[in-house]
Amino acid sequence: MWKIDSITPMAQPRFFIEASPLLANQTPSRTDDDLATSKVAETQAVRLVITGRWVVTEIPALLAKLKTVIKPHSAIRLETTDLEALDSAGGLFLRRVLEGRLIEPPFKDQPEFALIFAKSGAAYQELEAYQRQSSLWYVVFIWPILAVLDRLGRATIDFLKHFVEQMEFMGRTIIVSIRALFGGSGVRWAPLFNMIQRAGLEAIPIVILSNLFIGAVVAFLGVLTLQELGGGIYAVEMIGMAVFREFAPVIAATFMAGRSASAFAAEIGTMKMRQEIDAMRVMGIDPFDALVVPRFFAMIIMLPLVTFVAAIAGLFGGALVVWALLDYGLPFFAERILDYVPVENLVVGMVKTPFFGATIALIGCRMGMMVDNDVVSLGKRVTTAVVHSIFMIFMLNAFFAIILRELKL
Amino acid sequence: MSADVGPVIEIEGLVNRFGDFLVHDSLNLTVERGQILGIVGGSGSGKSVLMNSILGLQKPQSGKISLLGKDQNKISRKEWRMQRSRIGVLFQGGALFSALSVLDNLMAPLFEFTKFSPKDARSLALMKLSMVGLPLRSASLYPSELSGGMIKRVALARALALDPELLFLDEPTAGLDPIGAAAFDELIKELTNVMQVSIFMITHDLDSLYALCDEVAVLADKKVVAKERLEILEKSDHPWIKEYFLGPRGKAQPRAAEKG
Repeated sequence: MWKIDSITPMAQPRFFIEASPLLANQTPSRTDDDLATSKVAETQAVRLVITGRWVVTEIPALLAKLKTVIKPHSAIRLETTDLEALDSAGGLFLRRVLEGRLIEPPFKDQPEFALIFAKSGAAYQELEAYQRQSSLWYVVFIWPILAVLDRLGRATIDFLKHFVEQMEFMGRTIIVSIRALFGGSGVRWAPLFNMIQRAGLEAIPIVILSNLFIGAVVAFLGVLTLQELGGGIYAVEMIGMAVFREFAPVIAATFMAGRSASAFAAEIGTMKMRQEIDAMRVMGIDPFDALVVPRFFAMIIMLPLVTFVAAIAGLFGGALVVWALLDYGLPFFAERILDYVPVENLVVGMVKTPFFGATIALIGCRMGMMVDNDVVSLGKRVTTAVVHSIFMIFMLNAFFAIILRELKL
Repeated sequence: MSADVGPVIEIEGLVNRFGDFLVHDSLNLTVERGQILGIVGGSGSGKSVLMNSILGLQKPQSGKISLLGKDQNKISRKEWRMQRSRIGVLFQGGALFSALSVLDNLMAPLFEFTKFSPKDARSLALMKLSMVGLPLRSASLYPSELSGGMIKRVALARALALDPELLFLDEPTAGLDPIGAAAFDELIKELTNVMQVSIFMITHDLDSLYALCDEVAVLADKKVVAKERLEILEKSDHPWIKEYFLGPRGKAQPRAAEKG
């Protein structure tokens, strides 16, 4: 582009067609017969004059117009004396439009343009063929039912495969955990405590706050409905049962899933992308032992503790509302809880939490291990980790409700 | 554009500092139009920092940088963006967008700076792909499915997508085997010959230097200590340059160049 010393820089690319006065300035030494025959052949020949800068940023506006103008003419001579710049985009599209219509090779006196024209056109044939063949995917729109069935089949197979893989992952983690605990290979304490700090302790403030609000809302509902029956005070038992059995464990686990499953998947996934996991394997460190087991234990240990704190916070939120609406103070609330809410409720709530914790850790870590070598899969896996673990928590919770009901707890 | 003549890069008194660590101390460098300039220097001599400063990825402490005739400190937002369509960068690791297929990677700059229809942009991108010597069916692959050499080629095609006037190459042959590296040098030479670009190239590959560069600038002592043709640099007295060309790995090079 820069090679051309232009007096009027940045000239817009232009083109126009003119009837070709070819014969006037060509080969004067022709006989009349020659003249006659060539006249017939060249009556349709025109000159296409292109000027300005035919570069990638300028030509898109011109293309459609050029195509329509060219269409009726089958013999064209390219006139390029005022052409200031031609890049590979210009070369390609000129070539594409003019293919088969040029009656002589262009750019005779402009070697740098001729070179780029030849270069950018070199792939022309191959390109046309490729573009025709690669539009075959439109078949999908012709057979929509097949396409839907195809998707459904794939999704089912994927689901089964994922299920088996998740089981495999769980089994492996349990075996490695047992080996770490009893097999003499030892627990890695530093990462375990690091995880306890990051995934457990640091989650406590937000869990406390959210359970406070949940407890308060349950109390509002309880007081309002039970007051109509004349026993607003029974709200205390309702709060106790609801918070201990359901709200504290599920809310705490959901928060932990949002915080930790995503963090686990992102950490391990990034390590995998940067070949850190391969480096571990080569050094003889089992990534399950070094990465998965500490997270697994940390969640199993911390989720019950966080849940207990959450339960206290929920009760406190409920107590505040009872105090405000019914004017019974905190000591009364505490006494009533101790007297009328049996300790089984707390046990029922706490029993589920290690399972929730294990679920979060397993899904988070497995999704991290499944990250491929690109950014999109990282995002997908992290999303999946959170969505799946929250879903699994709700499902497990329902199972526990049924089992504990059968146990009359 | 009246800036179509004169040097493509002009740096005066560039100072870069990280904390107490001075990387560049009033560094001066000029890259002429049409020139292929190689940048060499030891690890930590600030080659990448220099490139990042020119590209605006790193704000220098002081100094004046002119890119394509425009002072980067005084350039307007709009002009700055226009300039981006006139430079291409080949990053060391390729820096392809891993979320996009090869074709989409090549079309990204086209959609950003031109108004081509998707179909036209597609053919232009495919042409670039074939120009860098890759089969067209690789267009639907994703960067994670490419080999190191292919990544470099796609990255080069993307850098050349808008036929830039100025091309930055950061270690173009790093990580390629000698045969692949030679082929890549050849490709760069061929394409830049066709497209008429100026090149700013950071490299440690002596073969590349001999194959491509018009001149070589040596970064040492926080400055450009020399910017000469290779024949002259080989005879330099500067201790680092001497070590570079006459050290155990440099020795064979002049002979290889003579032969080749």
